[in-house]
Amino acid sequence: MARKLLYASSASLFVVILAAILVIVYFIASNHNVNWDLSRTGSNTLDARTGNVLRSLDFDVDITVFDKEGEEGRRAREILDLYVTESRRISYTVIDPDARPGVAGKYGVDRYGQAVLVGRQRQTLVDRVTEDSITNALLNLKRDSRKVLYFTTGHGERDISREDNQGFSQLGSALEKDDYEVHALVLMREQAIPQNADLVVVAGPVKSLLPEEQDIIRNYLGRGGRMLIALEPGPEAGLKGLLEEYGIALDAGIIVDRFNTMVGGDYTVPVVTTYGDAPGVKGFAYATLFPTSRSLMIREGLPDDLAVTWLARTSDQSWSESDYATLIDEGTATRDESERKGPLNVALLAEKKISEEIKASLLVFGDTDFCTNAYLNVSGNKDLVLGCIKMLLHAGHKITIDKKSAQDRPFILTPVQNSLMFWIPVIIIPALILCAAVATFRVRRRS
Amino acid sequence: MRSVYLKELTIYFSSPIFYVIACIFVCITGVFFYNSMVYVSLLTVRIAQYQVESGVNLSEILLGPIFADMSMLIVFIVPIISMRLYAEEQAQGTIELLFTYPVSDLKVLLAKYLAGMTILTCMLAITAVFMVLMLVVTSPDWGVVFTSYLGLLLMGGAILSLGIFASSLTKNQIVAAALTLGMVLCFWVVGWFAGVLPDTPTSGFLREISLVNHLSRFLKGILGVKDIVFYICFSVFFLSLSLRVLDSNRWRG
Repeated sequence: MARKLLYASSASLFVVILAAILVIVYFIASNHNVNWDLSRTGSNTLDARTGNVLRSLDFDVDITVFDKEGEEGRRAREILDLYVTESRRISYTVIDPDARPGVAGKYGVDRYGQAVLVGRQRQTLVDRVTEDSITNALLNLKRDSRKVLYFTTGHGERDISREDNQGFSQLGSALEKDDYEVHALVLMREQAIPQNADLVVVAGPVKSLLPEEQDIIRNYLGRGGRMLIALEPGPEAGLKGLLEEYGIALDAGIIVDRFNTMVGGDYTVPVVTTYGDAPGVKGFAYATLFPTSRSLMIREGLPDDLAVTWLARTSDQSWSESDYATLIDEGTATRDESERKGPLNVALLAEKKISEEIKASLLVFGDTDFCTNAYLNVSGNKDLVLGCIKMLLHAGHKITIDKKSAQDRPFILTPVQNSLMFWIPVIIIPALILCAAVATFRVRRRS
Repeated sequence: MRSVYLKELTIYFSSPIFYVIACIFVCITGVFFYNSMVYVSLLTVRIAQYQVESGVNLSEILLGPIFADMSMLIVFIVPIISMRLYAEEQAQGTIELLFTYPVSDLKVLLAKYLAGMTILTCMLAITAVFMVLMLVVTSPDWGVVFTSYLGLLLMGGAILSLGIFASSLTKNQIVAAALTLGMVLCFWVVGWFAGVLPDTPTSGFLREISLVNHLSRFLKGILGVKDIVFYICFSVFFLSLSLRVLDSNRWRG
């Protein structure tokens, strides 16, 4: 009995020790995992530039993905697993934002699939987990200083601290959550735009900027500055001349679209679904709403050092209505022959070459309301304005990693091929196996 | 060891069991293959209708589903291969004879394991004809084909070791097969459980011990050290357990 007990104990001990050894072996393999991507497209391998960014990381980054466990969540895991394999500095968790709304709210997450990267006590939010977005977010965290944005004030511009419907507080918060520093700037108190400014925003000025202030802006752009100007129908705020220098002309009317408008809204809230090819808007998939917008035109005969591209435009059923009073008073509008017909530009990007390496960027929206607190979270408005701001801020610093996709030649089965694909695998090969079985048994019986 | 290996192979090939399961496995895989080919063909028609210029990832929409379906079949087929390995010997009383062989228990075990793996490899090799057949209409990604077959073999090997362990526990082959299937399904569904649980150490652990999670990377064309080591460790653990169980027959009397 005692002997049996001894044998049983030693067998149990053996099993425990073996399990422990195997767990350790697997743990080591896990922590020093190496993957070889043998697929033809190499779609399971990170880009060499991502590899460089990961190798140069000198701080830990924790990535939290807010998504449902499912196909999308699985894809995010697959991509982030590649990052974890490449760098021990990266770790990630996937959280269901419905199960933990508090955590989602803390990071300003309002959509499935968003991810927050936290490192060096800073954080940055990405809309989707792709190699392009994660690598650029890591680059953003790696930068020693945060990007600084100045919103001008003093001319009736929208205020980043105002929390009412007309304010910009939600845009300010969204930018801060994306790891940007946001400040107000009283232009008339300054001699020049602050040196640390990465972007200056003039959002919906009502009063004209003084000539001195215009010169400050002109000088800032002249040394390769980046600006975003959002206007409204009506006041030009003394910016007409400056914009024309950058190849942008302002239409005096208000955009009216009787067919592509918000449900419940009037004709003056055009829904925009057509976007250009610039990096910030290329492939943009959401509709955006521009309440009371003016249209922008690209001037003809631009010099070689100036390029103006359209970013967003209305439908071809829209037009620029000049009879503003009738539209407001009676709520009706009909297009006169003299009025410009759509598609009309609501966002233009002007880029002027200052020298071989320096380029001034000026992005102009024909509307300001679309990024106020009232409209920012409507449809894709927030994504559009943040995408455009990021495009301006990261021009020249951003890595563009296109998704590696296979370009296999699809095929259409001919009737003969269709029969071949059915008969050989489903009938002929199994029949051959059965024939082999019969032959084997006959041989056995004879022997 | 060679003689035990050849004896096992002879038993497999001279009994109807191999032919029946190979026929079922190949026929059902053939149906999956045909379905996938027709699906891609229909998808191509749709792509042409919408005038999409880009190509498609055939590894994702054609090879992936075929190999994933094959992995499900392996879950049901391997317990049938493994069920007789020791249970039959115990039922017929030849296990004692086995202990008197001039080879160690380990070598006998490895011979049986290799015989089972040979049967599995033969069945998978027959389905390689489908990949060649694919060449008639398109060129499959051979890298993905290679890693997928390797993944299926490693996973099949892990299930086989589990089957040998179950077979060493009982004299009844049906019980051995049912026990294997039950255990394999447990190691299969833990991955699904991990999917619905929040990210915690528990869900992480379940994800790591899931048989299917490690396979998914092979099916995408990734050859990962971690995944290979998992399947090898899994096999080594259950083969060692089988060895302990066989050894216990001696001192239990």
